[in-house]
Amino acid sequence: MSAICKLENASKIYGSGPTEVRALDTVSVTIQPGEFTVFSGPSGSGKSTLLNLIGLLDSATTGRVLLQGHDVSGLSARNLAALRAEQIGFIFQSFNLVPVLSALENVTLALQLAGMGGNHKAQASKVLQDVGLGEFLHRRPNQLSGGQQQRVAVARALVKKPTLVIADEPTANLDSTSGDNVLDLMRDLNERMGATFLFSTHDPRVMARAKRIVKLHDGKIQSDEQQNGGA
Amino acid sequence: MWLFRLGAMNLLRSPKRVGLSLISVVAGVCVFILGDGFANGLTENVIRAEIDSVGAHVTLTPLGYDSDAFTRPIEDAYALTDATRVTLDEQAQSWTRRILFSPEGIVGSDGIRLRGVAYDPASDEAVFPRDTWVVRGDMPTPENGGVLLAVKAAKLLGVEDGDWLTLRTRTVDGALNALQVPVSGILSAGNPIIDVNTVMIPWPLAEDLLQHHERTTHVHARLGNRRNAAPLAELLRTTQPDAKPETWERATAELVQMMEMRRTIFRVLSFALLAMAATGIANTILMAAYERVREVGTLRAMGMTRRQVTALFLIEGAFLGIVGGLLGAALGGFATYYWSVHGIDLAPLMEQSGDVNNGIAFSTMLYLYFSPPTIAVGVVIGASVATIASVYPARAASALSPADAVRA
Repeated sequence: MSAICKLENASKIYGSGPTEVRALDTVSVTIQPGEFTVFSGPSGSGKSTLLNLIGLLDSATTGRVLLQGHDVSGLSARNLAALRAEQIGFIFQSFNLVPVLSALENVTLALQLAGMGGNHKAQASKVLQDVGLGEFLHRRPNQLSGGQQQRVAVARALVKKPTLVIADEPTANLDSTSGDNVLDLMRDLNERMGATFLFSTHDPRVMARAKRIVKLHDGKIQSDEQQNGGA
Repeated sequence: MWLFRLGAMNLLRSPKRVGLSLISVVAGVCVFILGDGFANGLTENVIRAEIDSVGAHVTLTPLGYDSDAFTRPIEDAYALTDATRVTLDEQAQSWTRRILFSPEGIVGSDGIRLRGVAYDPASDEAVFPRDTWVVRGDMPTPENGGVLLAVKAAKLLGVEDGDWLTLRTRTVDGALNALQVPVSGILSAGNPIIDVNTVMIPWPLAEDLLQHHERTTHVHARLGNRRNAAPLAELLRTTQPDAKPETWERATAELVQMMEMRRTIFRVLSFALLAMAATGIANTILMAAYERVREVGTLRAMGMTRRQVTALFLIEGAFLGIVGGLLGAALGGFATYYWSVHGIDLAPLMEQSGDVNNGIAFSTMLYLYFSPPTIAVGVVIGASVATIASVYPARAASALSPADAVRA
């Protein structure tokens, strides 16, 4: 099976000289299709930086980032944006929905940005049904609970059928019930659709469901363990 | 299309802030349109008043004729040649003769300098329309042997219609002469150059006072189309060598230039307002950009390009400008149209300013000039100013790093 994403000796260094900060230090990691992987570690360990590199939001100072076998380091901002639009879905801690758009419009926006064909509304509507929000298509984010907003964010990330879904602390702003529901939903989508999920989190509930846990410390991988099936 | 929709919807986020920015665009565009309508209306007013009450389309004055608001020499009065009469009969819609002079109007021991106009009753009205004239009393006739006296002069001299007035002046040949005449009517023409100090004397009566013997200082021709004034002036130059023809365009050139200054003042005012609007819009969009840093980061993460982010904020500014421009155009256009139909009565303003007549003819009813192209230009200016003002905030928003922005 060919890797979806691969980091080869990737480092990210901020500043220079005495103010230099090595956020990620010669990290190598490979992500296979269908993974449900958690990157964990204390604050400043480099997990967000690592996901930024994998999500093409940032570039490595040294080393290589390969997406489906292609080195992305030389790509222009425009091409990186196109790759993000087509192949990567994001789920954020604060949901980050566009407040003036309805749930349906927020999901549709992902398809519009990716420039995908077909009936956007129908596709978005179907995914929203899949995440259990069929009755809330036309509600705006401020008319939805936190858990429902995160479900919209999940639908927005998945609607374009991305190669990779990156979720940054997706349960941090949710109560335990909503958090469990969202995690179960993502795990279910991972099982049913084969969507690849990468998480950055401290949440033990996420780690309990993960198939693989990569622990980072001071910008380096401390451990990389497979879990049998997760929860 | 979705980008336009998103931009439009984003404007609804801060209605109060957007409303305040809109007001400044509306004010700028409104003043631009009203100012232009006012300046054009004033220019047309001055031109029409000059044509309708002072010079018609072409005026023939003696060579070297030098007059101002107080001096009206008559010693160089000339007699019309047959060729000039024929040319005027053939080329002009109507023409008439006038002698302008400066008699002293005396009642008892009071006397004031007047603007004397000796006119030909048979042809004057065809050249100088009298539709705005209001005469208290009667028009002069051979039977009543009277004159028309301007309303302000009558007030100064304490004269009513039917009273007697002594006119003292020099004849065309330089002799001192005086004539006591009845004031048959008091004239309000709605034009300060007439209403302040004019006395209108019919041609036969003027002969007794000025002894001009068919000589004249002014011949005025009215044309079917005022654009044909220059060719007639050229013809008259050859038929009447002792006189100088002048077209309405030349006669009003200085006045028009003066009016243009007013237009410039209005433009400066409207552009100052639009500059304020631009600052307000730049601030509105910049605040929107900084308030939505995380959202911009999310959109960038979702694949929105820098160009699309720039376009999104430019669209927001442009919408603001278009809406403000349309509202300003509607307001300014309506006001301009209303005053182009109903006019603005400047008479009370004239009363307050002390009836100063600086020799400029104009109608006290000012009709603004309603121009649809100016309204369209107003909308374009409003939209352009707002769009240009949004360039900096839009670029600032697009320059945000997506990795930093999503965590802001």
